[in-house]
Amino acid sequence: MRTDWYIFIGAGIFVGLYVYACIFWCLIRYRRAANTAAQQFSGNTPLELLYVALPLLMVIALFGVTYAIEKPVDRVAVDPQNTIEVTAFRWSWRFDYPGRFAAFGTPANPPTLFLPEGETTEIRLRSVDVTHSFWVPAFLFKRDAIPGMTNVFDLTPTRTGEFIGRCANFCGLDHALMSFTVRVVPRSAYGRFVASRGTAIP
Amino acid sequence: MIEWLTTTNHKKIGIMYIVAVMFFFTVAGLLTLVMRAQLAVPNNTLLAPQQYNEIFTLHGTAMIFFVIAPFGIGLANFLIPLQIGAPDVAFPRLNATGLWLFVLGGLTVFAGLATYGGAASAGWTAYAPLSELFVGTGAGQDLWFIGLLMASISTILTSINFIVTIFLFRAPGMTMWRIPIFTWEMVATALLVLMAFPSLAAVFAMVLIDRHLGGHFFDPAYGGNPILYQHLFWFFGHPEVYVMILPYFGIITEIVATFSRKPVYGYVGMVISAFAIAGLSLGVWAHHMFTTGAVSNAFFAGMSFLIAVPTGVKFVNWIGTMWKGSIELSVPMLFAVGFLLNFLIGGITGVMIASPPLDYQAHDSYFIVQHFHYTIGGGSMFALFAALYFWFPKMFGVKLDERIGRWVFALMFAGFNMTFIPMGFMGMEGMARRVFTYPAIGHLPLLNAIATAGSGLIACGAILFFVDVALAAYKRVPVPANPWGGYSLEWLTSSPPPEFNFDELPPIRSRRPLWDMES
Amino acid sequence: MFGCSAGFGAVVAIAYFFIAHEEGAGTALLGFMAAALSFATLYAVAAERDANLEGDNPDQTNAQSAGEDLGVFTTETSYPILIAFATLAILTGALWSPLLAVAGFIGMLLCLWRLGAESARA
Repeated sequence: MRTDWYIFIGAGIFVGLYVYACIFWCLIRYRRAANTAAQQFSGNTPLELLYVALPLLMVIALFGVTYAIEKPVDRVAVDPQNTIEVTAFRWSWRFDYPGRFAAFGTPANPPTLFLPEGETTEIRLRSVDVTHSFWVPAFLFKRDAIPGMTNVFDLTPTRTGEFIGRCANFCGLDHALMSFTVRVVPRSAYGRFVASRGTAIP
Repeated sequence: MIEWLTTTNHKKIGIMYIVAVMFFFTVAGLLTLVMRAQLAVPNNTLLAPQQYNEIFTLHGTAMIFFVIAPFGIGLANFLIPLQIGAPDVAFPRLNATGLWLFVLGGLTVFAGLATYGGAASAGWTAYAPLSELFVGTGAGQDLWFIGLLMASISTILTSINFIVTIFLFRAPGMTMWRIPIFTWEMVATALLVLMAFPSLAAVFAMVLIDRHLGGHFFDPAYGGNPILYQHLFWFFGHPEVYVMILPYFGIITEIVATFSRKPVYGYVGMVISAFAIAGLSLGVWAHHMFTTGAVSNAFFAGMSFLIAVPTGVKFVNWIGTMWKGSIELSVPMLFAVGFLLNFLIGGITGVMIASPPLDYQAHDSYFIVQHFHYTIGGGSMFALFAALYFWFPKMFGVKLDERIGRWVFALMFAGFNMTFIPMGFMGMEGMARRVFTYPAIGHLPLLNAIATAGSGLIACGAILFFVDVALAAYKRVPVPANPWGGYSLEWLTSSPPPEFNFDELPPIRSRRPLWDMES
Repeated sequence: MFGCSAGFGAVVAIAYFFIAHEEGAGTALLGFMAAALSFATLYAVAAERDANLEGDNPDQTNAQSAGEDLGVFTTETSYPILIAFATLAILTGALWSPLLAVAGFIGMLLCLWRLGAESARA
């Protein structure tokens, strides 16, 4: 997904600089002091059509890139190695781990989501009151938690570490305090964590 | 005074729209400064969370519904009859009704501040189920819905007025393909309003039914669905942002052509792209819902990418209008150039977030805040000031000071970019939107401090603008009919125009009647 | 334009039905597009019927095309602002005070009646 960002930023900078160059060229070269008589033309159909075709090709290319990158991101594995139920509520989170134990937090005490490194964890996301959103900026990913539906997505962390998670969809008073921590730990540590029903914290 | 409350004259009504808009702009602007002050440092306690939530809700609501959108309407009210050679709009009393519905609607929304539970605090988008909580103490939220229902009715009625006026009230010789681009953009805007605003009225009525009449449209416990709210809201919401930009595209076109001393480049392309944008905008609404997992991301991404194409056509035409022209950087043109530079950034970030994988990161973060402020603020707001400087002489018969105007532009341009460039980075670093505070990690404190400082600069620019207006009122230097050398019909008549606009109309044989008269 | 958007809406609605299974939104969309299409048809029919506008003739001048004197329209009337207040009364009353809503509704009817009388007089 990082590649997607770089492609789009690159294309954006290219287009931006090109258009800026055209604008500044006009402002400088054709300023009143340098060009008192304006040439009275009002169109050039082949040129205009070209400038429809070129951006069209560009956006088609960008759409292709988008589609190729999105498919794996949205794909949910048939057989995940791990499933965690995440419930969002005003204003914190509850994580139900396999082995039937749960951890939840408060705004003052954000909960920690433990994930095994290198394994695919299926997250089943729901909300009990209003719309929230599960966002981990380091993963470049978020998904909304909407009452009445369960959103399912996969997280496959590739390195260990501690990452911040936030609620991204405005949910009222303490929306700004509705964070959580994601800790990606080695598989063995995670296994012990689950087996001990959450007491052996990595 | 009573005359102003009972008039049906489109020029007076247009001016009243603009005065009301500047009032709401000032109030919303002051609220913004308080907001940015709260966010200047992490974990600030200047505002309580509830206060902050009310303020950002009012800021968004006021700027969208009571500043940017109605300014286009007010200006159109003033200009359309003048530009097509008509004595007034088709339904002058309906026009006045629209004005007063709008003014009362805005006051109603702000009246929420005086209620026990405070003003509305669910954001300008008021997602259900959040907006359906706290009915007992939530009079402010109800007043918000009522005020916006009134504003929507106003906009719908005025759009009908504009469409009939433009199609039926044109002067002899003013064929549809000769009307100025601003008027064409207003045709597209008005048609878009008719398609989109009923959805808003419907969804707000549904929420009010939920809140007060035991409805459960959006409550999953009873078979309702919050996603339905999002669909109905955004089916209105996305066309609304194009209602907020199409008139300003028209403004920029008029100004760029006048100060380049050239005809509009690609006139037909401008018209077609306006309708292409309007039509496409009806099919992209769920790009606000990419992260819900409940919509076809691919379809809406594709449609959203497509909108970039007609917008690009407009940029080509604006540059084409400047090409080999004779450009004078007077104040309206400065603001127009500011528009071009700013709106381009908004458009490019828009193409980025049209890509769902990118939106998964950017959605509901300050990256999005940056995007829409560059389009609405850097774009529409700059065009708003361009229009004020350009048509002020026509409206009031006095000119605004050029030198002060250049300072207004400089302060606003510098301030605007200083405020909103950091926000893209804030978003990428994980700062969500609609938050009353943030932790002191990464670059967030520094970026926020810079953004707050920038907002101060914008405020200085706005204050200076009002100083400029006050000075103009005081000095009253009279202006001729055509101080800028414009080509459309409004520059033919005196400044300000007589009651029924034209004492005598010249023969209209082209898109630039005044150019023909000169040559 | 309405024809195009109606056709487009039909395509989108179909897409919605089959791809996203979002029946509610698809139906709403079809409804809108049906409305748009009917408006387009009616407008096109009416436009063809009355297509004799002076504004559409590229060569006319004011003197040539001046028609009958339709009289003047009302330039000063207090009903618009009263209608706005009546609307506010109806909406606020609907939520909090049936009395206010009824008063607003009666006020609205009065205003509309007097507006009609105003037009007839002119």
